[in-house]
Amino acid sequence: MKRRLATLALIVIAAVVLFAMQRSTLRYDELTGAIPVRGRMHEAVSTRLFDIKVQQVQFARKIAYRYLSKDQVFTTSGLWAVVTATLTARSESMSIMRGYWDGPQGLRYELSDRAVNPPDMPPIRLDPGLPRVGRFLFEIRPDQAGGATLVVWPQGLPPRLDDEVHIALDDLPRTADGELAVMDVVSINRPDGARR
Amino acid sequence: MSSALGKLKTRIATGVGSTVAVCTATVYTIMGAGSVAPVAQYQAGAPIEAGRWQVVPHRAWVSTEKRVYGVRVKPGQQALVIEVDLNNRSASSSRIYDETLRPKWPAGTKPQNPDVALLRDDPKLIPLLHPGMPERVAYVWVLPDSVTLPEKLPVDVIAQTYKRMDNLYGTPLWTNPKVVGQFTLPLGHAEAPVEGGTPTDGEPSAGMPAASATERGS
Repeated sequence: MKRRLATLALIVIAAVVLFAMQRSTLRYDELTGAIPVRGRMHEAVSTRLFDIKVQQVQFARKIAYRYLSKDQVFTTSGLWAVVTATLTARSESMSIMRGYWDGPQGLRYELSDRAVNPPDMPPIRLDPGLPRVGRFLFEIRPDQAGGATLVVWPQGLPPRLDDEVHIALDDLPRTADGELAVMDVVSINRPDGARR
Repeated sequence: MSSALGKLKTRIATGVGSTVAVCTATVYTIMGAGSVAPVAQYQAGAPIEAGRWQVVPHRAWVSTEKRVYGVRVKPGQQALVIEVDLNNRSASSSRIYDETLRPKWPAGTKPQNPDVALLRDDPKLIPLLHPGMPERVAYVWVLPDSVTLPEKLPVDVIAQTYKRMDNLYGTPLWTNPKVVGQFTLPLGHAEAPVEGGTPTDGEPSAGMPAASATERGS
């Protein structure tokens, strides 16, 4: 009787251990995924291929864009967000193809595809030792503005066992009473956002 | 006698896998033979939860114009346009909406995948739709002129199921497309160039009454 109980206990323990091992094993995707390099705004963040420093975030209800001598205004059902950064390649020329706006609850907003070939926006070609301004244009839901993270990676595919930049967007434009400052129109033709 | 019983026991023990398999298959066959539940019917303006998307049907019409929302229609062809609001219910921006609507085509008609245009500012094809931001879009199917479409066109809404991680890579997955509902819209005929009628301000869909969705273009 005692022996039987012992066997039963052993089986139960083995099952628990196996279950724990199965649950704690990392998935292939996690084992070979990106290596996040974290940073904040106004702070240089270095990765294997490039350096990035986010300077400014602007919010707007409309985007003005002049393309092929045609003036266009883009509206959105949410908010436009423009992130301005300085970027430099480290040892070889390369391009920044992707950027994401990760909201506070993990909603991932891809770069907006509304404007055709906007200047200084992905693909952003970088050369070693030549800092340049790059901008990222997003359409987001207004409640995703605070506590967001800018995720950037070079080239097209998600990095595998390589650096991925995560920059906390913690210095947002605010009005005097602490509300989010939202402009009416931001032009994406010039780096300073002014209209020609 | 006891040895014969032992033999039977052994046989059952060795064949237990196949026995269970046969029984399960039988049970599933019997259950599958029951009557199929009717598809839920929706009206214009009613939100339909369809997996990754929330669909709000608005209106449908047929056009023979040269260009419908940026989609080229050659002579001898017609375009079927279905306007809906799409809201991305998933956690990331997406363009995977081609298979969400499937009109009940007349027998023998097999059109290609639709072109989808965003009806904000200038119509834009294959727009990226972002999480939680509803937008008015138009599905445009280009058909030969000879196809006669019915006065009232039923359209199936197809949803995929979310799986948190697939078994190989452990990444999220949308899978198993299924019809979750059906709406029927009267087909209008648009002869004049169809422009405008698109949402102009920040509230694309909320205030759109269902009635105006059906009378346009008829």
